[in-house]
Amino acid sequence: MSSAMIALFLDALWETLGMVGAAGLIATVVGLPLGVILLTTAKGHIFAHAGVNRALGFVVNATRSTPFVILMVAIIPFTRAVVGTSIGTAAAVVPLTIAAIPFIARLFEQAMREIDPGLIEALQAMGATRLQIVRKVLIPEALPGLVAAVTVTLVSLIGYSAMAGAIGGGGLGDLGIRYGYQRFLPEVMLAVVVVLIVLVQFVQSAGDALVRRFSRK
Amino acid sequence: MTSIANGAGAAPPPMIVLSGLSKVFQGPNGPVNALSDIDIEIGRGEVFGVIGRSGAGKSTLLRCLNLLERPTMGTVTVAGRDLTRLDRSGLNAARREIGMIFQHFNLLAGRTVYDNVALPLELAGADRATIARTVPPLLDLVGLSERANYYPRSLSGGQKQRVGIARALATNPKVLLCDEATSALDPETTLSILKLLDKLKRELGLTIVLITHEMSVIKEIADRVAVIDGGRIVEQGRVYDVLSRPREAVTRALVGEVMGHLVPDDLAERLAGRVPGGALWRILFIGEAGYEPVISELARRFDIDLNLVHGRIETIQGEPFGSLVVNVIGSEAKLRQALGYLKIRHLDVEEIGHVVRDDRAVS
Ligand SMILES: Nc1ncnc2c1ncn2[C@@H]1O[C@H](COP(=O)(O)OP(=O)(O)OP(=O)(O)O)[C@@H](O)[C@H]1O
Ligand SMILES: [Mg+2]
Repeated sequence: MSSAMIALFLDALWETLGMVGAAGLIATVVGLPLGVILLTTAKGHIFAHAGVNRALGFVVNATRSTPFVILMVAIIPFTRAVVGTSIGTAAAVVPLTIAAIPFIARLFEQAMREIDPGLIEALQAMGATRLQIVRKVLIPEALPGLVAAVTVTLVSLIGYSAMAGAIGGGGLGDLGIRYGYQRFLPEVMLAVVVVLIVLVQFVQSAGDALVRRFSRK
Repeated sequence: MTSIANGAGAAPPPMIVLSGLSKVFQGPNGPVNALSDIDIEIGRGEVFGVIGRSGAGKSTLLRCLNLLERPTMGTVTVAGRDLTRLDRSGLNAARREIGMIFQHFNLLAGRTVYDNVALPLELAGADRATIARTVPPLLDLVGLSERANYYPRSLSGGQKQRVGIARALATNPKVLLCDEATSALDPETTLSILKLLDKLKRELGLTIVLITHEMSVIKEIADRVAVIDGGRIVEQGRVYDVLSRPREAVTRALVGEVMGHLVPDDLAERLAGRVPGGALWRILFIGEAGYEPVISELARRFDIDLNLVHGRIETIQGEPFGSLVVNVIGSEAKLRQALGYLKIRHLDVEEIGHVVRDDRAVS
């Protein structure tokens, strides 16, 4: 591979990391409170509220069941309003984030659902407020599960970012399509796939290591 | 006010008063009356046990004491405050004065022993210095100073419960609620935990309410006991009284497990049928009378034969308690005299079976 090609590769890798990192970060920050709300507004839970629970559940399910390609196109006006353009790396972050938020919120909810209700009860018996229960039990006790959820989300985002790239979003997917497919350079296509595999492997092992690190069960 | 009116010798107000307490759950097959019309008073520094079969309503009752379960009717007064009338923050404050321990300990897996014990203090807004001052003596009290930096997963069941106890005591509560606190532990560990609770009662003047399905736990540490069945208190009183003279069938069954002094009905019937001219008596030796040689005296004084069928001597809270089932054979008149003598001696006698002279067995 020529050094120009290598430079292109590094740029593309960098763009992918940027898209996945930004979308992953925003999704985690927004998804955590949403996950908490999904869980705790359920019947019998600390913030039980049927209306909120049903409404949020519906939005989350609706977003999750929309195919990513359609979501990307459908929200182009919104993307333009946010970043000023509908193509490029920054523009791709918007649909990636929108898709990742409900995804990770559900995973967070499930991770926190695993916590023994006895722990919540113990905190209630100590006179903990409901927010204290969230801060002292739900989040810290579910930490390994939450980290695993972030890992799964990042891995999915790597895949989706390649898709976003394919329709003008930049990054490795874009590189693979433009050089590998349109200019018929199969070795570039292959290299893109290999890099993506390595990236996914790396994220997965780092995530697993963190999960082990936080696991006290 | 009332304290003046009652005079100097008035009993101190009870620590816990449950009054007209009922709890109805909406189950899938209609409403379930988990608790009905419960009235209980628990004194300061008392160990109060609640015993019952599975599903009797024990946990529901205990959880009503700190309003983890809100009663459908009635009031829960702890340290003079009606918890059912408090708002959320008032209730949270009141709960800091009521510690609770659990059958499965409910420790936070992600926190060390030290941090678990510190948790209630953190929740109450204590600063680091206060926590550092409070936690080590508590760990010392429960004998776990060495384990401060361990995580719960590396502790034994008994050690976990000790952490639970230290944690429950962190906010210096007046009351400790124990939900089947020893049911997940082996007999030896159970005993050591009960000893610890007893020490807390004596040294801290803690009022302890414990629920259990094991009479041995009640016998070991409770002062008074209430027997719950089908959501109702069917019997309550001093542990010694309830154990030595259970009135209700449920209580008898539960008492039988530890005391073994109740002859099973079928055995009693069989024995009664096989003693021509005689009777089957159960004699209870309560308190000091437990040590008196009554049997040989009866035989000598009244010229009757006594065959020992079943016997046992126990101590309940340090007081001796014995029960003998004897088959007595002699004339009707002599038996009546002997019975009278036992009554004069304040021994409790119960005729389990009797055989009339013409050998037609009745029971
Ligand atoms: N949340 C609930 N919803 C509906 N019914 C309940 C609920 N909690 C308890 N019950 C019912 O109330 C009754 C009393 O239950 P409780 O748990 O207090 O019994 P228990 O004496 O503690 O039994 P165990 O020894 O098995 O723990 C049972 O019939 C139970 O099915
Ligand atoms: Mg129970």
